[in-house]
Amino acid sequence: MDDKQALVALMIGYQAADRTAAELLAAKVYPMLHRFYGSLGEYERADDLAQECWIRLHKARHSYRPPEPVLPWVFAIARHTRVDQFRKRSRSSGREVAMEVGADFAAPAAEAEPTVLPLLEQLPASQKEVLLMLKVTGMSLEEVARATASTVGSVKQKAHRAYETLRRLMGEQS
Amino acid sequence: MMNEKQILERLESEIRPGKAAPRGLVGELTPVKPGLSTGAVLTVFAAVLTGITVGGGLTMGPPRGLLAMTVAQVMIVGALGVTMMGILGLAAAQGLRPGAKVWVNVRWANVLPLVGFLAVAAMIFPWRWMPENFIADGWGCLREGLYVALASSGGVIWLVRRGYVTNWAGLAGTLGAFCGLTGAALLHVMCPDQEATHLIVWHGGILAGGTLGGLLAGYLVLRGK
Repeated sequence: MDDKQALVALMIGYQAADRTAAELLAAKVYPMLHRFYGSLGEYERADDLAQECWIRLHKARHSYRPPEPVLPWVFAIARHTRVDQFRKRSRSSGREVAMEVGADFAAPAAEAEPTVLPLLEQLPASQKEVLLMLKVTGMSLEEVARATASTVGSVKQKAHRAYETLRRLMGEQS
Repeated sequence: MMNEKQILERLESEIRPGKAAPRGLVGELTPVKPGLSTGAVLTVFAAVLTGITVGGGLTMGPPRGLLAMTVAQVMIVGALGVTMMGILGLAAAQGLRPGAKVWVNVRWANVLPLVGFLAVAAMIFPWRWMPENFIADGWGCLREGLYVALASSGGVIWLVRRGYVTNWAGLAGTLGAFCGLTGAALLHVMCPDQEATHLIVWHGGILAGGTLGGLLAGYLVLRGK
């Protein structure tokens, strides 16, 4: 049984209220969600977002239909969670006072000086998201298309444009 | 210059690993039924559309609209209604299941019934505009059609409760267009005034009103979130 089939089996167990299946599913999916949010430039909020997303996945578990792939379902809800949180933040941002980020809360420094990751910030959100879904989660083009409610052609085009921009930016950097 | 593979490998190495799931993440568990299939959504749509047109036709007197049309007009309008119901059903099915395969573009699906109806009404129905009762008759049609659309929204609200919506604006527009379609379908069966201007303005108005009402509902849901 490959990874994707195993996820489908766990999801079926989760829908049937099997605690072991639910815990195994959380153990597989939660780090992916955390990594996804963290790599989208939301490292400080990755914990909150991943937990909020898990709550939504739990509430929406009836909307999954086996044997469809599980990861597009998970990441469609993950995107939605992020957009909702962004909307809430932008509504309340006018009332917030900016604070200095203390050392304890700052993101830990990576061992090696990153070169590609900071450049992602210059990509449009949709291209960045597609690139990270392909790389962070290992989803296929078809699965990313499902998660982003678009077509395979559109995903290919976004990924291609993202590579082109990154290549150009790296050329300028060097 | 790095190639695509090298860029991805570098990116992969730079992305921090995700944290493990915290303890106690999985809370109370109760069994749930899996989401509705595309076939089930299409069946619900077909049942609502058939129920409204047949049920309405049986309770509201003779089907004067149907009797006023030629066989060709009935067949074309029927085929249009079934096709539009299918397209809206596919759009609704993909909107109710996150991560579902995208069969149709939701924006196109939401305007297609109105565009298709206007085109068919303009092409196959006679233009015999009579200004005397245009507003009085038309307003009655529009009002009845919108009531029917509102009544059919009960079935589609049940669908929303069985799914999980990630694109409220798109799905609400789709469901609104479907409710408008049921209102327009019943009027086509019942309304004796099968004249192009009347159909375009008043029967088309039900489709437009349904879609706009749906979009407005979606916008209000989004604002409330």
